[in-house]
Amino acid sequence: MLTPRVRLRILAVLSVALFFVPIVAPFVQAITWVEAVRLGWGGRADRLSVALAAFGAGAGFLLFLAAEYLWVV
Amino acid sequence: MKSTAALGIGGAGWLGGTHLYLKDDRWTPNRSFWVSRGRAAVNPPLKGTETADVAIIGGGVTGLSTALHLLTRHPGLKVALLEAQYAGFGATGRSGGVLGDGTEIGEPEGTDDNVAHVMEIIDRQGIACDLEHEPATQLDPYKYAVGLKGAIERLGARVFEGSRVEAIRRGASVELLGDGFSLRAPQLVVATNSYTPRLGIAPERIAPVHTGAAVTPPLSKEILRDIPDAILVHTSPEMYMWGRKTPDGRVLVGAGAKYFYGDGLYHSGEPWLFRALHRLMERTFPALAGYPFEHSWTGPMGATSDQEPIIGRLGGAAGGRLGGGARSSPGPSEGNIFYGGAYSGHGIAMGTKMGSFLAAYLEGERPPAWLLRHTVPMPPEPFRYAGVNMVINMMNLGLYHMPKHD
Repeated sequence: MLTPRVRLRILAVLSVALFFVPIVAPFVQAITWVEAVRLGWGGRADRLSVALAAFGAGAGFLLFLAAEYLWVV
Repeated sequence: MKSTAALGIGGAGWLGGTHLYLKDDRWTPNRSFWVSRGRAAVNPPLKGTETADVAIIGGGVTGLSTALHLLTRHPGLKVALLEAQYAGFGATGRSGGVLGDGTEIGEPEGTDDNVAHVMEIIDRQGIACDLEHEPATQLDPYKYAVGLKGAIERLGARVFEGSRVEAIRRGASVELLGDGFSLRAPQLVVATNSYTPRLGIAPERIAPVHTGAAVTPPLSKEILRDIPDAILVHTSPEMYMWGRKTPDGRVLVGAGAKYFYGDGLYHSGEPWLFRALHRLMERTFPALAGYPFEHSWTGPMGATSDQEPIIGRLGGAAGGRLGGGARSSPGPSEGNIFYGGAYSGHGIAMGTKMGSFLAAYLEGERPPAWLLRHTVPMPPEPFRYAGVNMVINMMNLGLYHMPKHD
């Protein structure tokens, strides 16, 4: 079983790395957000991991939107 | 008009139109610049029960060229062509009308004379389609389709427009069913290109990918002098903006690719897409900055997983409604349903050549092996939406390069 710290960091990386995969990207980013809030709120993960997850999910979602609507032509 | 909510994940609908993410059974209502300048007379739809030696679905360049080659080889053959809208409605009439040899990613066997083949047909059939040889070989694709339609009618084909096929009953004799009509024929050619998977034919091999195009108002000679005659500007290692000048002094440009959920064929042509296209045109040709598009349109291109055209053949006694997802093998020696298409935006010349390959295939002459190759199957939804658009995004971002022909 992955520790909350490792889980959040993996989700942060996936949120950014998969930004160009429709359906999958927003799904992973939403899970990352939920996990960051859930684990951060309960104090079960360190602040850096929570911040990385929140940042990864946000940046990944912005990149996803750009791939869908900005880099279209 | 029916809109089926199938999936809501993928982004907010208000950003790009819900048809990107939700299955929408409508077809794109907009018209290309070519069609907007005046539509030719449209034939009445098929009513009642008819028979033919060969039935063709699709009044684009593939279907019309197939009929032409069949009738040239066999005068007197009973050919009936069914078109859901009007000849040239689909990708044919929405293209830029620029002709080129080869395909999207090379010049495989039998495609090195595609342009000469079109020239020969235009000459022989006397088709008036604003053909230009210099500086690039280009024409009015809608007039070309209308000219082909007239040519096959002179040779005896019956062309029924406004006749949308709703079901294909497979068997020794294929029966096409639609609103108030039935057409039976021993051989069927499905020449619907990007519309093919929605007919339940080869959904694992062909997917419709939408693109957009637009024209400026007529421009002065001074401005046109700074614009190249043939526009092909790479916007990433794989994707590019294409374009041309029109005979009346406009600049026509097109770019972009997007797959819509459920093999969607409806693109409402959102303004943001054409704003992006205009920004791209301005960056490339600053002299055009002050000229907003006068007309814009969208259209689906047929695409395979390797971006090369395909030919296939289906048979058997399986029947039923359309959309059943009939699996197809690439090149069996039996079967009375033939299909061909998926030009990835290079369809005017290649589609015309495809007609000759299909006509020969009906007689038992196998097309070049590369057209019958195996293609990586595209999965069903929702993996299809994610997979096809993932590949498009990767190509847009330069993360993936389609293998080229040697």
